[in-house]
Amino acid sequence: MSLVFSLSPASDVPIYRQIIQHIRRSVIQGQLELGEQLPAVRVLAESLVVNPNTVARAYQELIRDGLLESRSGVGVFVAEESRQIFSDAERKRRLEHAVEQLLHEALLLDIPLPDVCSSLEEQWKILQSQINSRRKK
Amino acid sequence: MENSAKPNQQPEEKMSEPASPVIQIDHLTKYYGTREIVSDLSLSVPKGTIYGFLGRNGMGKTTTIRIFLGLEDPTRGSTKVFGLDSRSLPPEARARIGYLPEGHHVYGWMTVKECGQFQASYFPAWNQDIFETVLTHFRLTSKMKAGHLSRGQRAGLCLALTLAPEPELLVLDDPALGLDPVARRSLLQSMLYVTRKADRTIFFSSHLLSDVERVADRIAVLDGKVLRADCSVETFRRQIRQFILKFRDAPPPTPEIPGLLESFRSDREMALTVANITPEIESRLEALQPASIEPVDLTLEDAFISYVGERGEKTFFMNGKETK
Amino acid sequence: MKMMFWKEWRENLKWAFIGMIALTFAEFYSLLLGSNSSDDSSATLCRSSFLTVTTFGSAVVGIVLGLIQILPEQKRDQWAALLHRPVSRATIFRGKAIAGLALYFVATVPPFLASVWYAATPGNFAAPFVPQMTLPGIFGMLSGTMFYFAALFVGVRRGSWFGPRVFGLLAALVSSAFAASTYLSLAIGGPVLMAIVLFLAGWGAISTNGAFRDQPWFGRFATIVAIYFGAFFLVMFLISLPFLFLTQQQYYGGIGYNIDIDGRPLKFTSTKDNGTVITDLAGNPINDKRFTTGSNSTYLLSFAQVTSNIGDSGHGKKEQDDDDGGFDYSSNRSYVIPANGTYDNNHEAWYYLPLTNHFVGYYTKTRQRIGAIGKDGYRPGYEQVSPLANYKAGRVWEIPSISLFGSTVYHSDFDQRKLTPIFFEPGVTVFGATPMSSYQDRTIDLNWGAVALSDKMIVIDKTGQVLATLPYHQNVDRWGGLSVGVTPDKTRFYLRYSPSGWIDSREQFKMPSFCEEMDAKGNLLHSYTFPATAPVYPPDSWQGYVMESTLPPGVVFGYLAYVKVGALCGSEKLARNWDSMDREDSRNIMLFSSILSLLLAVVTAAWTRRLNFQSRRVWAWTAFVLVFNLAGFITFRLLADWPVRMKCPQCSRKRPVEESTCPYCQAIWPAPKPDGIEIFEKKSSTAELVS
Repeated sequence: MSLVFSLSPASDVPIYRQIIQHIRRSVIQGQLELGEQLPAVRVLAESLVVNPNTVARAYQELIRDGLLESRSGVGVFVAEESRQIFSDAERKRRLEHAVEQLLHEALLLDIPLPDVCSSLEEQWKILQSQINSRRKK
Repeated sequence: MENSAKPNQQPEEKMSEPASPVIQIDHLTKYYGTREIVSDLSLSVPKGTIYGFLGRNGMGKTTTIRIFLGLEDPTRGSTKVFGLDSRSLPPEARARIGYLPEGHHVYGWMTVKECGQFQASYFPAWNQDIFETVLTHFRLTSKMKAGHLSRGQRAGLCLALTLAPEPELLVLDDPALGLDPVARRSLLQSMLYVTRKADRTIFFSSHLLSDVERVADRIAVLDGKVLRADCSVETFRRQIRQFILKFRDAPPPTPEIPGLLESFRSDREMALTVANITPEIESRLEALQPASIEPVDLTLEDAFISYVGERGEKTFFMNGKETK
Repeated sequence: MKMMFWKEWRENLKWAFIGMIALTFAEFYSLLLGSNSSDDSSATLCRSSFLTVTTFGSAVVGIVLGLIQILPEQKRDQWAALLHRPVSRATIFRGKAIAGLALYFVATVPPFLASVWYAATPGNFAAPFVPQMTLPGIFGMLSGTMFYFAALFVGVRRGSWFGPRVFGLLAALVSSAFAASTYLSLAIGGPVLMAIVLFLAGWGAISTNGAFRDQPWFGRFATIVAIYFGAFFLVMFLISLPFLFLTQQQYYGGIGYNIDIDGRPLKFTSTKDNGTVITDLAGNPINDKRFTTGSNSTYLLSFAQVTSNIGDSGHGKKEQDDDDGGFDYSSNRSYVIPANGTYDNNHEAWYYLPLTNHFVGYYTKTRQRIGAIGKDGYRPGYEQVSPLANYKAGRVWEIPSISLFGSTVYHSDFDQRKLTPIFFEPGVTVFGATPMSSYQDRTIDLNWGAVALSDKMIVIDKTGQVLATLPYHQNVDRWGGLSVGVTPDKTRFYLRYSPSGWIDSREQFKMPSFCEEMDAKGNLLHSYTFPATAPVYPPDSWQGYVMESTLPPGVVFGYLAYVKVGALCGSEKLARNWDSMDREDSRNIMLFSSILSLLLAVVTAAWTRRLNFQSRRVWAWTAFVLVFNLAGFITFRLLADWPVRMKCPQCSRKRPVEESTCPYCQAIWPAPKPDGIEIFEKKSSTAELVS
């Protein structure tokens, strides 16, 4: 399976982080299924035209986060179950960070809180149904 | 590269042994006449790395490369390749070094095939498959005359000639100069292709920071004849930070802080670009009592421009004092 | 390396072809159209215009090829790409040199062969072809190789244009003068040696990135030789230059003697204002109206020089070796000598070939060969003839109708195709024979000849009949330069004796000469003695002193030692050299050159010390300048790696940038100051995920 996406090279986001973000998005949106094997480091690196060490670093961080797991001798896979590696405090912090970003955006757009909440619920339902539909396959 | 958290499940990690560096430069100083080009440069390139050599034009990058390849003599200091003194590199050592100088020079009257034959006669380890692969990559055929090639095609030919002997050390001096984006991409791909075999080292100089960011493990920055940075790309980005300080009234004069690269003052704001931020510097910023301090993420290119550009206070695009 | 050769060959072949075509045109142009007044019409391959093309044209081809092989590749990065090859720089250089040499011969040899073929093919020239006539052209092409290597050296040697580069070319230029030498060893050896030297110098230059002292030893040696050569001759040239314009070296006080048609001996003294005063032997002025008209010659007797030596071959051999300098390869007259005689110049041209000792003749209109005349007579066309004995004399302008071969005097009549021996006696050695001449009676020129034997001079006519016998009354061993004249009424003969040619010229000037008046039977009527007419040289000019003082003492003392030791070891020639050397002159030379050498050596030592050369180099260069004097000093200045010096930040004195420690205050060069923005990260071992 190829994981080609468009890197933004002249970006303020480091390349390895872009790869991480893309893999995470792919998992959430279903392009990467649970338990699916990711391309080898070198293969992905050559298709993205980046240093293999950069890809390796992205993989390693995702493994550390628990999104990916490495099976020795075979390769790197999407973890079957998302294991919680982080402590509760860490999970809370990360959530707060994401929420803060969302709320900043809403304030700038001058959207009242109830509308934000209803939008949140709507999106949650859509994503859940997507995950469920994939699980059924 | 940080490896702060060891994963629970150990992936197979291959730690390469600390081997002797492929290129070793010790206190290199070079003068042309009384003009100092390079001053006290010390650098070592480990085996297996992709090393980017950055710096503005005329800062001594090409000179340094020529010196450690034994094509010019240092004024002071020494350089070694494969542990051998550059000034007396034996032919067997030269066979392991692929050098692509700036300018992509070829003998115009030769055909592509003849260029290959000429080059192959010098290198016993010539790999014709690689030669042809790279040629195909750049859409070159054997009958083409070297003198009729475009800049990008010439670069491709030179790259093929340099890669075919499968050198352990690949030295590229501004290889992307004058190349169109397609050729540039092919160049990057070829560079990565080389590293398929372990222990191949690439040392290249470039002005294209986005390409450097893609492929380099480490970078060395030559600024004002002196080596100012020798670190991974990530570290370089992390150490150069920009802060926007917003004030209620006119901002105060630029503070004297160590590592200040650039400052930019406008009606209500002061933007400071700093290298090697420390808590002490942060507190000094806070001491200016701004309304807010906002950190800005810089692209590698912006960071680099601030790093090697002119220091001091800027007004829009020009240097100099503010005119009020 | 074969590939290097192929590359250089393919790359530059077009230039070689252009050169070949240009040379072909130029050579044929000079053969067909160009001719100089100094050449005779038989000069084909030895014509000065042709030799100019072969020598000068070859040199130009050599220079162009050499520069074109190097200069276009000299841009920094191209040069780097060339040198970064897994072969030694020597191999790269050799590949270029061999290819260039091959191309040089491609450009020069075919045109030359075409010219030789054209000259040798009958019907193209009304002149004979002697294979040795190709020699000067060949030498010219050889010396062109030297220019090729000079150009290669000039190109390869990095650095400014002046200095070693220019002097390398200068050395080649100077060596090309040797090609004109008549000593074969110099003519070939000079250019070939310099070509080798320049080749080695180029080899040395390419082996280093610019420092002279990093070159291999033979490169340094060759470079020094070449530069020194150029510098030495430049110095000599510059010193003699002013004197071409300033002083005119005239030796005035010229005195000559002659006999007038009445048999009266006269003394001619030239005065400072280019006038002549005519007196008798006692010095009394003569007022003869006949002498005041323009030319004096109609009232004087004409003397034909018959011999320059009478005597055994021991003396003669020396004269051949030293005075003439040997065979002149570039003169056409070494191969073909026009023969004088009774034939119609409009239809025929006859020549003598000294190398094969016979005469040949050509029809001028059809340019076909008439035939040859040898010892046993005439044979038409290309039939062989037997050779005559050697023609006696050194450099000959033309063969007269009465001439001596071996010990037989012949009269040549080419109209009749006849060469008649008119005087020969077995066992009798003839030392010279020549036609007599007279300003007043042309029949004497055409019919009379003088033959010199060991004890007498015989005057004969063209059938061999003896007309007069003139025995010698002087010591002809020392006064063997004999010439004969006769009064218009053919009654009185005059025999003049001048010092023999084997005597050293300085001694000759101190000797008198004699003139004897005899009748046809040989009775002595009068005997006159003409005192020595030593020319007066102007006093030693300061130019002489200056030139002497720039001579390298190494050479001066070396030469003196060589001569002295050689004389002691029994070499007769060197013993003569030692004796004839002017003692005072030699002492002056030794003194002046040593003084200047010493001065320059002191300057060298002081200069190199001040510039902080390493002491080994100080000693080496000082010794070099001491031995080789002014030109050596110039060489030193051009070649020594001049250190770049800058102010020491600690003690403010200038110190060489290449040394880490200051020779005065021992401080090292300070490291650049950090300014707070340095980002350095230690390298960690790379960990890679292997999937």
